[in-house]
Order: sequence, then C-alpha cells, then structure tokens
Amino acid sequence: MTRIGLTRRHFLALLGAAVVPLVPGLMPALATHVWPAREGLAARLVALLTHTTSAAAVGRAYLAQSPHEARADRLVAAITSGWTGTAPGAAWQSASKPELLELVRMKIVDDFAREEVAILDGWIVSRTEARLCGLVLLATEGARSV
Amino acid sequence: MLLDARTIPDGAQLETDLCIIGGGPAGITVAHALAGRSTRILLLESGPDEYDDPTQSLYDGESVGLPYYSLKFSRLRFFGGSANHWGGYCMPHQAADFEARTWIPHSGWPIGEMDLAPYYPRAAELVGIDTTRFDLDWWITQDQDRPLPFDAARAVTRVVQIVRQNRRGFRFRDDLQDASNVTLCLRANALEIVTDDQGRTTREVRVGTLEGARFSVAARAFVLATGGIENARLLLASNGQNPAGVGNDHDLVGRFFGEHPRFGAATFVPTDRAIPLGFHFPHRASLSTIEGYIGLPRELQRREELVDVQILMQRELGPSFDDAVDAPVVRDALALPRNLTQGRLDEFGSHLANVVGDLSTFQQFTVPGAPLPIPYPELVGEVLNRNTADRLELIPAIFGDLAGAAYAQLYGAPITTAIFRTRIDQAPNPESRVALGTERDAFGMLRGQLDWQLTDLDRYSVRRTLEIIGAEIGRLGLGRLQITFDADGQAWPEDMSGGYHHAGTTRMSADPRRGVVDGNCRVHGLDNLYIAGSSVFPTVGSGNPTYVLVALALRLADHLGTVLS
Repeated sequence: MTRIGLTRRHFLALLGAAVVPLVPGLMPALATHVWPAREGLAARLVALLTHTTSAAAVGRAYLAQSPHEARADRLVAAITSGWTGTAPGAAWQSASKPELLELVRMKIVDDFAREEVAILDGWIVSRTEARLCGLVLLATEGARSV
Repeated sequence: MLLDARTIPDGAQLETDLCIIGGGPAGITVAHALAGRSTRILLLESGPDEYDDPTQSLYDGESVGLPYYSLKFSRLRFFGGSANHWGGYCMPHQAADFEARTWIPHSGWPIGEMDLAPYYPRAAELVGIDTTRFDLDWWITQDQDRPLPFDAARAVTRVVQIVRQNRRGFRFRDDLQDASNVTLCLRANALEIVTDDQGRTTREVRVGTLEGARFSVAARAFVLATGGIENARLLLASNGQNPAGVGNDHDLVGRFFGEHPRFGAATFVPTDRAIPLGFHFPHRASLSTIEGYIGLPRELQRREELVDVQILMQRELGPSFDDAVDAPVVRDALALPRNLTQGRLDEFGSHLANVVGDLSTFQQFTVPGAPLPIPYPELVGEVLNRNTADRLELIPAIFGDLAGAAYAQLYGAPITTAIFRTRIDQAPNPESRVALGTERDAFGMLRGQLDWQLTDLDRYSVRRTLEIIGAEIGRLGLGRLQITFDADGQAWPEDMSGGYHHAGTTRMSADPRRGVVDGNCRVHGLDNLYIAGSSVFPTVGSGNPTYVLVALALRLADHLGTVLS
C-alpha cells in the first residue's frame, strides 16, 4: 500500500499559494518540463478531463506531495503500469477515447482495491486520478512555464 | 414488596439472603431473574420512582481528563437507573471482543461469546427487542433496504436493533413488587460496604437516607450494580477496613475506565444521490427498527492490529434549515441563504467532484444547480412507516428539507453528504480512571472523579479504519470519503463524546492481579461480593453495553441461584 498524507493546514497553505512557482519542489520540475507531442498518450489522457481548472487544482496538491513525479513521462508510465488488470501497455497506446476512459476507470478501481491512494486535503483519491490531474497541471501551468 | 427507606427506623439492622445495590438494568435483571424463588432479595435503590434532584446531585463529580459529559447527568439515579435515558440500541459483543488480542494490551475476557449465548434470548425479552438475530444475511431477507455492497474481506455492515421508544426504560417495578421474595427499597443510599476484619467476607452494607436515617443490611451475598462510575466510587470509599478500599488489593478498582468515543471523523460524498443509504440509518425492517453500522472485518483488524472502530452514518441532506434558523445572525434575512450554502463542498472538494465526475459513469456527483426532489422519497417512506407521534417528530426535518429544496431551486442543489461518526471500542488504559475526588456529597462521601484518557492506538485505529473504508467506497464507485479527523494531531475532536457507556472500572479477569472480579463476577478475595454491569467489561466491546450486561446479569443470577440455594 502506498499512501501520501497532507495535513489540512498544509493544504490550506497550499491553496493560498496563487501561482505554481510558490509550491516547494514543484517549480523546478515545471520550469524544465517540456510537454510531449499533442497526439501522444499524455495529451489523450489529459483530454479525458474537461474541468481543467479543477483538475489542475487537484494535480497541484498531488504533485506538491510527489514532486519527483512532476514529469509527464513519469506520470504516464505510472498511470499505465503497476496494476493487476490484464491490459498491456500497448492497449493504452492504441485505445480510442472511450476505451482509454474505460481503462482509466478500471485502473482507478484497481488502485482503490490495492489502496494505491493519496490523501489530499483529507480526501482519499486514487493515485491514477491524482496523476491524471497532475498531467493536466503540467499541460497547462507547466506548458506556460517553458 | 415495596419499601420506602424513610420509614426504616434509624439504626435498624436488616437481614436478607441477597442484597442488590442499585436498581438499574443490571440490578433489576438479577432481582427479576430470581423473583419467585425462595431466596430473599432486598433491592436497594437510591432514588425514588422518578427524577429527584437532591438524589441526582449525589452523582455530581469532577472530570479532569478528556472532556466528558457532566458526571451528574451522564447516568440517572432513580428506579430504572440509566435505562431511563437509554437510546435502546442493542447489539451483542462478537466472539473477537472476548479474545486476548496481542496488539491490544490488557485485552481478553475470562469468558467467551458462548458463555453469554444462552442468556441472550431472555435478555432480548427484558430489553424489548423481538429477535436475537443480528446476522446481516438474515436481516437482508427482512428488509427492503440494502446495505452498501462491501467486499466482506474489506468492510462489513453490522446490524444494531433499536428498542421502540415505548418499550424502553426497564421498569419492571410491578413484577418485583408482586414477587413474594423481593423487597424493593427506594430512597436507600449505599454508603459503605463493610467486610470482616480479614477482608474476606462482606458483612453488611451501610445505608442512609437524605433525611438523615442510617441503617445496615446484612446478607449472605451482595451484588453491586450501581454503574461503571459509582461501582468504583463505592468500593474505593469503603475504606474502613482497608485504606485502598474493598476489592482493591492490586490497585485496579477505578482503572481502565472505557467508553465508546464518538465524533465526526469523515464526510462521505456519494457519487450519485440515488445510491441507497437507508440501511445505514435507523429504519424499520419487518417489525423491528434497525441500523447498519460500518466496520472492518475482524481478520483485517487482526492483520492491521487495530481496535474495533464502527462507523455510524449521520444524515446530511444538504443544508440544514434548522441550523440556518438557529444561527445567531438569523435576524438578518440574508443570513439564511448564506447559512444554507454551508452544506456545499469546500473549494477543493468541488474541484475533486468535477474530476470524479469527468471520469465516472455517474453524473450527479458534479451537478451544481440540479433540483432536489421534493420531498425526498426516503423521507416519505420514513413518514409512512412511523406511528403518529413519530411522524410529528419528522415534521421539522421535512420542513428543513423543503426549505433546502426551495433554496436549491433558487441557488442550486447542495451536495448530499453523510457524516461518518466513530464508535471506538477504546483500548484498555489503566491511566483512564475513576478515583475519589476532594469534594464531598450530602452524605459526606467523597465524590467521584473521572480522568478519561485515550491512547495512540485508538487514534491510529480510527485513521486506518477510515482509510480502508474510504478506499472500498472508491473501489465500488460509491463516492469519495474526506477524512476530517486530524489523526496526526494530539488533540481529540471538539465534538467527541461518549455513549454514556461506562465500562472497565471493576474489570473481569481470572487473575486477581489483572482484574477486580472473576469470571463469575465475584470480587477476587471476597467470597460473597459480586458486581453486575458494564464495569466488569475488560474491554468496552463492539456491542451495546445494555444488552450485553443484561445477559451477563442473567448469567450472574444463575450462578447466585445455585450458590444461595
């Protein structure tokens, strides 16, 4: 089981930080981050989330806890691997948008089953949904940073 | 026979076979079980037949530990005892409650689940429930509602039965009064338990009335049944022969005070308003009223080394109109909608709801502004299932919900949430204790002092239990859980309270160095003093104490019937 803790006090302080560069440990990662090609898996995963502001807020909280994951390739690798399901990596690459959404849903269920969760402001979220949000943050704030 | 202690002459010496001190559920059960036999029983009750403030004030005392209810009012001192404010919740202890669990210091009973099993049918009759069945599978066949569909290896639902209001109270006065071998003596306050010089036999109990009379009762056997705080207080205060008090050779009397700590620890936000939660709130099933508590399977608790933490759901159907109108600023008309919005998710929760909604097959998790159904179908069902008096009780809730619905039409629907409240079987803790204070009551007896304490194991168990249940809720797609309990802090939540479940202060053990009473509830070292009630519970247990202590009192009555015949 992997769990990440974030105290409410810490989180509120985090929310108070209006811009990404104030997040400790995250700024260098974003500043050097180069967003992958539009047609890549990362971009297609990001496209699953329509509420980008919300996703970025969740992603910011997650990457503040796990700054070592603040790279698109690492997040994509983590999202598409390390589960008990049967979908191979190639399945993610070739999946249509509905298939990709279904794979993500299955991975989220698998995360919860294995307690692969993060605790953000007290909320118990699957690491896959948190990582997806991290991707959205990189795709928006991060892209602006480069 | 009924006797008023004020009619007993000062200095009188009464004599009987069995003297029971305390007319609450435990004492009444013992007397009731032995009614009609040849054993002469004198049941001493401090109070009259109804509340009396000078008598109740004898319970006043100081609380020096974690915040707790007023000692004066957390138990009741008149015939029927604390059953007079009983909520009617019944559940037996589970087999695991009796086991010595290596990760829980001082756990383990000298008796097991099967020792109490034969007494539950009669206990059910006495407390007023219709069946001794508590297994979920059976209740599902009796109930239209369904529990949340947990994987039984990850989380479980436990059934609690709730005694109907008009059957609570434990007032078997007529039965006792009519029994030829029972004398119920009201307004009789036990002041001291007196043993022989060797401290091996209880000789008599000294009794007083608030009017000033003093008399004594000699008996072949005594049962102390005055509750989890007062049992310890009376033993400690009975220090005429031994400064440590009666039954206290190993400094155990008063220690290990336990409760079922309760507080709001998490917020559950369902993915969809249509997810049925009715099973987890008090509701009618067949002829009974039941509620489903959420907990962890025992095997998982063993693996994780946790104490038992049960979760009670507290309904939060959007904004509370009652809360809104009760707010100090209610005179300001604008305050009403402002207060009603407090049922909404906070900023981060709203963001998370949007993310979950994007990825979910459900839609309602994220829909701000969706109108609420008016009125809620489940409330209509509740109303139809209630009798007239209970329906009247629901009117404020319905009014509040309608106001909330009206608000929702104007400003958007708030999220329906449920608060997860804990019910912890707190770990036995010798530093959590009842002692004698420095103030004295109307009899000159030192008042009780409570120092309620919890342990890090309790705190850790709450957090882990919520994490596991939260992950299971996520796995099932039921919603998300926000842990609001600060498990890393040192303070306990401000809303923490207990259940008036006072346990452990005269704990049971086969070993005199580890317990005050033995497996038959007899005080170690004394051949004729017994204790009834939850004060003998070595661990508070997962069950509700009243049902369990009544079964245990029936078992004690069986034992006394043999001993005294």
